Amino acid sequence: MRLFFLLPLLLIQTLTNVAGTTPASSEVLRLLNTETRPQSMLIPFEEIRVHRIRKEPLRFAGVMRIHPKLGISVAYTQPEETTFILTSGGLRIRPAGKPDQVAPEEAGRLVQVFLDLLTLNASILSEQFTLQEAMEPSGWTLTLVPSDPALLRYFETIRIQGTQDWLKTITIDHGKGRSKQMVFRSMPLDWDATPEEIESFF
Amino acid sequence: MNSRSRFISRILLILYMGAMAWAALSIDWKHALSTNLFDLIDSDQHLPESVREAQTILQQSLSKEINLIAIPSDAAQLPALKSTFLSQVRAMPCIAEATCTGDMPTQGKWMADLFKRKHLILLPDWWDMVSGGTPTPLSDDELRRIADEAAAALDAFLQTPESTAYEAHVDSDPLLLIPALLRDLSGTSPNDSGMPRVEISAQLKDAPSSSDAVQSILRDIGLLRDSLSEAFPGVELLDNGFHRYASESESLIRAEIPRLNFWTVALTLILAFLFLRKPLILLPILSVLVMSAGGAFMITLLLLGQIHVISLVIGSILVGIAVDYAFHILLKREELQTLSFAETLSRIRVPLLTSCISTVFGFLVLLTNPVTAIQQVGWLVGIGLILALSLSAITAMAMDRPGIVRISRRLGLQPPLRHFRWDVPIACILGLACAALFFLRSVERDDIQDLQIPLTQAPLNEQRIRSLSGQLSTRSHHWITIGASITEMVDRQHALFSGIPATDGARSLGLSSLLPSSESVKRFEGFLQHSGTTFIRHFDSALDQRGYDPNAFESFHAEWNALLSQTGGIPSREELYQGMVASLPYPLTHLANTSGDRFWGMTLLQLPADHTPLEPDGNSFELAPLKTFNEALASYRKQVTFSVLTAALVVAVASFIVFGFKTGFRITGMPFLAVTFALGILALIHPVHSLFHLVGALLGACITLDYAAFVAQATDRTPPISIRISALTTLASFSVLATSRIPAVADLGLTVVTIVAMGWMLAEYHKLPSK
Repeated sequence: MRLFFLLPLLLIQTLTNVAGTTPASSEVLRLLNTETRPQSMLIPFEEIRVHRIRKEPLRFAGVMRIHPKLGISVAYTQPEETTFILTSGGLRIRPAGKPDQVAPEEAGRLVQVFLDLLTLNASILSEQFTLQEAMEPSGWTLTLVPSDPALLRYFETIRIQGTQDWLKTITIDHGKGRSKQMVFRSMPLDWDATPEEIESFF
Repeated sequence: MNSRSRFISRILLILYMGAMAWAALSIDWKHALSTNLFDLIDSDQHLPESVREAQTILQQSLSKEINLIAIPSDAAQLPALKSTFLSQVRAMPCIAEATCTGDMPTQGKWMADLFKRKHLILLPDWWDMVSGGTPTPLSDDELRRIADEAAAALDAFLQTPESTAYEAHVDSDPLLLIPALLRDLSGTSPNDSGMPRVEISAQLKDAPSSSDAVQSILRDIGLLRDSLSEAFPGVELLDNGFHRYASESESLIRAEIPRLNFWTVALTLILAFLFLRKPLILLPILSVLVMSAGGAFMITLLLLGQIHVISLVIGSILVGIAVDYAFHILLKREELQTLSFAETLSRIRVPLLTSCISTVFGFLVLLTNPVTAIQQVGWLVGIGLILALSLSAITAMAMDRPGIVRISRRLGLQPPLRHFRWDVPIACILGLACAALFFLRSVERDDIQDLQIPLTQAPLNEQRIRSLSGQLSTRSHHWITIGASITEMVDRQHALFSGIPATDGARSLGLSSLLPSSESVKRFEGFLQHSGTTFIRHFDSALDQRGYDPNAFESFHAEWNALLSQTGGIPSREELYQGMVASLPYPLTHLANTSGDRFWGMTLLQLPADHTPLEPDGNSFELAPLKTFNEALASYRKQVTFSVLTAALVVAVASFIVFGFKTGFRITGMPFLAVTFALGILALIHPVHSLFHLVGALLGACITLDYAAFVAQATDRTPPISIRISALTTLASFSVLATSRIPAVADLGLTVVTIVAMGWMLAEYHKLPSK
């Protein structure tokens, strides 16, 4: 599983984007980078939103689709149907039965920053994040801490956990009692995208 | 032959040509011609003074608005296209500001103030919405119901994936005031047609009021189209704005001017070939026409600085009338060339005076007309006629070999008719009957759009853009509201628009969409005082029941308590409003503005196309240029009618004094009858009258007065040859105008043709032998 698949989602969910990664020397990063990647894939996910105003967290579910040419589509199915489409050009939001909304200009710029990060470019990552990683027998943890104060407005840390080359959770800590956790309970599936699916999700 | 007078005449012609060359070099040709319909008429006269400046500012600003839409071949290109498109539009030399439709305006102090004071600003309208706007205190059950619904709305909002955008702020805004405001404001955006596209609203640096400015805008848009096509193959770029209308109108009118002039000259030449035995005499006639028309154009430009192309079209009649003078003088060429210069001036004094009293006087009367286009025609034709008369005489004197201009026998045809008995009483009864028919059948219609050739491309283009935006079923209206303070202005906006039922599908975007009325504030303060503490207790309880921790909303509670106790450094509303208004960014700058010591604000009102128009209430006025122009034209027509009738009375009295009762009666009677007969005929064939028919009637009456003065003074009964030439050339030129594609010009031409034809017939009748 690839880190670059999931970071955009985090970005979307913080409404601003941004992601952090690690220097290319990171063991975890190297592990993720060396995996053989399928052409297109889809993966179910759960999302848990914690907010200090709520006694219980809110839960969302959906399917993420990754297409090497078109980008990433995050389709929420519960409790409402809404799709976030992230391409090299920026972010579009497609509420069920409604036309696409293009994210404001500022968000588009942030999306571009994020997409740059997807290349796992060591120089870009080290400019904006510091990396803390821990390798244990039960799995590994990669923690990204923004070094850019502008990014700290949106989150304090991003913690990525997994085993071997499989990423299990991503947790974004926004601070002030607010966080989000993405949980991936199954392995990604190969996705033989039909034209209809591409039209629906991109 | 007087060689001295020939020498003086030639010197004068050379001096004239030199003066014209100097004038041609002095004129700013780039801005010489206007295509802006707004330049044609001063429409502000009948509006209250307080509104005029606001209207002028807003009208100028709206004429700078331009819409650009890019449609990609692939919807996935939208985000990238949006970014590139916006940056390229902003980089266009003609663009001052640009923003994507649907994006929030640039954030700044106004947004910070709004966010910081959201409860102070937005709670009154929220309370009106949830309580139904009742001023009486609500029961405890009602308060509990409202509190429970508010908690439910918060819970539903947070269940949406996209709520993540506002998650960080819900603890200070659990009533969701800001999301509700944004939703309401986006409700004023056009419905979406489903077509993936990027729409940009931009403001031009300068209004496209001149041909040069329009061409510059079109050039910039062309470059933008090329650049976008290169980056996004298959992308389609649409644009709409005042420039599209100006461009098409100008190209149509530019084609109309040579067409009208060509046919006027062609018909005049045909007449000359038919009725003159030596057609070469046409060469000096054409020289006179070119010199007089060119001179009139340049002198008018020097006097006024700019001429509207419509005035030039109407001014084409100069050629048809001026040719009369050239004919008249050149027919006397042989005689003139034997006279001294002083004697010549003395000889042409009579026709000069006659012309000035009638035709030229008629055109000079147009200078008092409030319609700019008609004033310009008055200058253009008045100057042109004086030049034509003078140049005809000078050219005739300057020519070398005097020759006799022979008239075709056809012009001297004597009809086998005689005067009949009771002709005058019958004519008077017929005249009165025609006048009655006119008043009974004819309807008033003043439409500024009659001043331009009906456009086809620009409206189709706008229709396409409106269909893309889903706007086909609605119409946008711009309203201006005036007030001594922002609060008063907003109160007046609320008062005006509260009359439209919410079910009518009407939407408005103005400061009143954001700010509450004083009445709402009073109702909310009453609620706070009476039930503020109780409500917040119920709300906390409802939150708790829905799984929320009420204590986590401490910033909301702090603000609520500050409002309850009126503490916490709350500024006065007016002070807060003025601060926000001062920092509004484009395109919100027109929501509030100042004019002297008063405030004015624009409201964009979207009404269904079949909705009853909203009536002004004395504090709010619709900015509807076409409607305003039409009302102004109608009011000007009444003024002009009064002026024309007064002038006719003065001319009639003067004729009686100068020529005596009998001749004066004939001189005034003929134009009177010609006009009434013509009006009767027009009532049958074209039962509409406007300001331009009235102007046509004035010109026709002046020309007919010429004929009447000529035939009434002559004692012989020979056929009126000079009137025949004059009438034929006049009819030819005005008939060409009657075929114009510009309705106002066609109306004017038809009216003059009908009156001159009637006047000519009466002049012919007068010359018939008595029984």
